[in-house]
Amino acid sequence: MRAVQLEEVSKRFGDYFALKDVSMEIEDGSSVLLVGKNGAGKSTLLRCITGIIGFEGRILTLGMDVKKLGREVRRLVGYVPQNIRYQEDVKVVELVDYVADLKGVDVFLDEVLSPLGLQEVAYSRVGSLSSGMKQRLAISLALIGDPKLLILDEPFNNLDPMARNKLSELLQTIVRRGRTVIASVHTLSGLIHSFEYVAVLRAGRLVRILEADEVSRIVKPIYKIHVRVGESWRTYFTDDVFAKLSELADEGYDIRDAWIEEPDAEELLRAIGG
Amino acid sequence: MNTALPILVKRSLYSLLLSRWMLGYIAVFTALSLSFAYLGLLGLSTVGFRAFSGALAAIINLNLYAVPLVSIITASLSIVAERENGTLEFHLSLPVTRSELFFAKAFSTMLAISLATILGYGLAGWYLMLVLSDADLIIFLNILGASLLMIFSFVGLGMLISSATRSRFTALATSIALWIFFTLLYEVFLMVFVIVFRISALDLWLLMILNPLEASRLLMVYSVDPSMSLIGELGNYLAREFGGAAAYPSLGAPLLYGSVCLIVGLAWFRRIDL
Repeated sequence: MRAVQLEEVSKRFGDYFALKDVSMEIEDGSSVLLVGKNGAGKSTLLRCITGIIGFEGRILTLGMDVKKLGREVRRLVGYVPQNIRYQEDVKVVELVDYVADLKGVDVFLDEVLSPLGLQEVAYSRVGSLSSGMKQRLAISLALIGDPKLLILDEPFNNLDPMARNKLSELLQTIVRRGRTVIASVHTLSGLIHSFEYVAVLRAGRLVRILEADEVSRIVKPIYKIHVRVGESWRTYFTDDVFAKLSELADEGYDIRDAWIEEPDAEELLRAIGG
Repeated sequence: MNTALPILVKRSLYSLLLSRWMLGYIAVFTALSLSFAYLGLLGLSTVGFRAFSGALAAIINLNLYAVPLVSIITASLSIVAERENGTLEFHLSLPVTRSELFFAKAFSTMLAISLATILGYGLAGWYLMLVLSDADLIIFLNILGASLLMIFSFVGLGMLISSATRSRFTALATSIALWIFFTLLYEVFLMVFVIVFRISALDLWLLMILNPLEASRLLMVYSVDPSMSLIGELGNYLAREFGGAAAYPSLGAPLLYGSVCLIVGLAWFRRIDL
């Protein structure tokens, strides 16, 4: 069975085509990483798959036509929008109840919040949470009801490295349980290894779908490492962050004053001729 | 029927009733209703008018300005504020339809303002009970009913504005402009029509009930004085030609007005992108 099937899907905002004739199939139980620069159409595609916005063409999500059965689709899908916002004066526990009520499921608060370490803020107001916590809350809410399909739009935004690791592990566990996962990113991070397929979007068109291993063979993500030396900064390029950091530390650099820039999707697009 | 409407209405109503805006309206409306009831009984009775009529006239006037203003502003901000804050996508990502979300916003706004208005009337009514006869009580309830109709029509109009605008500022400006038009300018236009075009009493009446506020005013006048002599020649004409049936169009017009606005607003809301 296919988790998602898109047939000639287009989405236009005025004269601008955010998506143009996109057709693709995603098998049940697989994991797909949507890669593309900002404005490539990733968020629009994910919104169409969940039936949140209208579009031309046809999309079957979990075997249901999203144009006709959007509500039923969203009952079985967990979706994390990009830069999600909540009413600031609502408590976390109230949001959990609200989502669980709408999905028609009974949940234990701890079960929902503990996987991403949010149990301590259960009775806090959303407005008091940091951006990273809000992002973790969005993912926790999307997982309510054990969705058959999990859709995440830029899920690693605002997350620190530890939370990213935790989320990567969680996603792998979800895929192992036979659930389908689709996530979008605009940078090429180590995340590719957590997914089976990589779908590349450019200017609203689907350029190619590759196996994640193939992507790793085609392109080695090059990270930029900026290190402070005295009053100025020096930049190094590497495909192995940890090895380079060790090397710099051995050379006597103070790597507490350093930051790492992730390679963006442009590199992959160049490598596959997209 | 499996609908998310009760959950959405409950959540929306809860947040509306706790908003500073609504609490302020409840406090001001209740205080003014009570003051008018008190002053009406105190002052006008000494100069020979029927005490109840004096109190009632003041409350009706307060009602005709305050209720449409609060209804149109609250409703017009309901969707556009969520859209501008970015919280609309969260609601739409859940198993709800756009129609359910739209009607939940409309119903909860109507309920919140109705409850606030009933509370204001209730306290004034409780005070007026000291002098009210059974007939007066029925008049009082009829006027409350006309206010609820006015809430329906202006919330409908507000929902249409909320769907059609893209920013809170535009929604607010449009609401205030329409409120000024319906409460102040419409009467000026009617006078111009009467003087310049010498329209018939029937045409004047039809033009009056095109404005839901005027329709409610006529209904309130009819409740107080079924002969409608309070509004002069037009009232005499209506009483002579139509008798009690003259009240029905005033009853139907706000209902029709609110319903049409809600239908157009919903159609608009179903088309908008996020």
